[in-house]
Amino acid sequence: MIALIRSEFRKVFSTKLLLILSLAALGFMQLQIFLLVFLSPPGLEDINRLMDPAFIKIIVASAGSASVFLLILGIVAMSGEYRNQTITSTFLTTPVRWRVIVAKMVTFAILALALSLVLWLIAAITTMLLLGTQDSAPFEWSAAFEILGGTLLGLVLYAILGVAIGSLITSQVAAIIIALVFTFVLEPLISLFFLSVGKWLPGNALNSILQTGSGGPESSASDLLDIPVGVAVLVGYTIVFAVAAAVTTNKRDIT
Amino acid sequence: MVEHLTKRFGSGVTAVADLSFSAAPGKVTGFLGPNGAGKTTTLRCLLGLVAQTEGKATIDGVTYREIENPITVVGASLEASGAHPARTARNHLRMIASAAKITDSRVSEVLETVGLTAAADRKVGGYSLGMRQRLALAVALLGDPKVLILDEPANGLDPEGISWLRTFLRHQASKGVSVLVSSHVLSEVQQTVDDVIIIRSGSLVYQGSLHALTEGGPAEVVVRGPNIDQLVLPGQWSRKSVANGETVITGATIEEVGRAAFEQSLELHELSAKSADLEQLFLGLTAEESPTNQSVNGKGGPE
Repeated sequence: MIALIRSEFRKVFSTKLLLILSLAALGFMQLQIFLLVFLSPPGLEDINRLMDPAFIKIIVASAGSASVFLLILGIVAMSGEYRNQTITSTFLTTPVRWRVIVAKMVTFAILALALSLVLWLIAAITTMLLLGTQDSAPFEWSAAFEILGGTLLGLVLYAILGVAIGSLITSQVAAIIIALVFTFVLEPLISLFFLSVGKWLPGNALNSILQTGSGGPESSASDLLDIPVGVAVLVGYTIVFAVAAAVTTNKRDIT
Repeated sequence: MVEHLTKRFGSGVTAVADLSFSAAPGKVTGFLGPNGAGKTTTLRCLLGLVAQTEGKATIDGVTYREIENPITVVGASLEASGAHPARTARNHLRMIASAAKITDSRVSEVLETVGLTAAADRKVGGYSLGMRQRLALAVALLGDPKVLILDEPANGLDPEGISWLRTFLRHQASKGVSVLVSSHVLSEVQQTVDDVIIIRSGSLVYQGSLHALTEGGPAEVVVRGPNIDQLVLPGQWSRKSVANGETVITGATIEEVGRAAFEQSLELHELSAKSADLEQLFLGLTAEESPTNQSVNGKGGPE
């Protein structure tokens, strides 16, 4: 397994995929922090949300916005093997296919852990610096540390989920489109109208871990699952998808 | 060794139908058939990439997926085994090597063997088809295997490349490596193979030595003379072609044709036997509804 993980690391670092998606995640996160600090949501203009320590925590939790990039990272890394037909060499070298999937999941979990740590740190520092220019409650590192665990866990699980989805839907374009439509269209829509159902979806399970809201206008963290339940739900999704990926991959004809 | 292998794809296409053959160890075996005959599917079943519907495909008695660290036992290059276009050849080999616990110095060795050392650190996306084939061979050689399975390795090679491939295959065979090499063009492998397996529409049409294949083919007799078109042929003979006073007759021996001409008092300028052209024979064997099929089918090989 160590050899396979080594091979996976060599695969990642011999293309630019990781670099590009990391930079995209960083840019998106910084944009979100700027918007949250400088723009008030509609209808809440007369309240200075920056005075609320809970809102400051939500700003730092912008690191969690990298989730979609880590999802795509996992998807592209796995489905890319089918797209570039390297899957043939990969499965010729390691015919016990679930081992390849596990090695890839471990590899991207490690990468996601490192990346999310860096992103969390940058998010905290950026928030701290921007708040210094505003009339706001003081930035507290303790608040930032409260969401560190959730950020790391959430992003790691999303990267693993990405690998699983990339194994289930081997057409790269289809996999990315389905993941994006689900994340940005279907899930917000369901959450908006049926939060009782929507809170059980992976995106809101992640939001509960990150202690942000569901994103709806009157939302607050209390509408979502309790943190331990959110963790259990997200871990559950990851396990179900991972097992489905291993089973379908084992049966698939590589032509 | 392939026994009663059948593969039906979900779309209802039967790519391989009850195919059985075996390739002898330590020999170069050509695996021939026209495009779409099921060669690639058969090889992919053998390599555990495609699950057969029925039957068994084994290497030295075990299936590929049962082999521990298989690329050190069986090296394979398949047509659709690609490399990431943004990766260099060296990095492509290194990622495979590390998964199989093969050293990076071996990577340099195989790059040298296939003549890619100079291009090793260039991106594969810029490679010619011939260079990609060499890279695929390098992958196959990486584990220093005793069995090589090569799918259409000559595809896309220029004449120089094909000549290099022949030398390469002969060198591997001389080292005692068993080689199974597929092709849809007999002439590509004709000078290199010991035995041939010929399939058509997923079924075996011939297995045996190349030499035996030639002997089993229909003999032709060439006769030439000023009035040869007047030669009356007995029923089972047939006149294949007539041109410039030359006739090619099939279905008869040279003695029989000579006797017939003598009995009919025809002047002869030439009477010669023409051994069947291998390429023609191959085309005849693999063509749909081939009449020559029956005469050669079932003629067993040395095993």
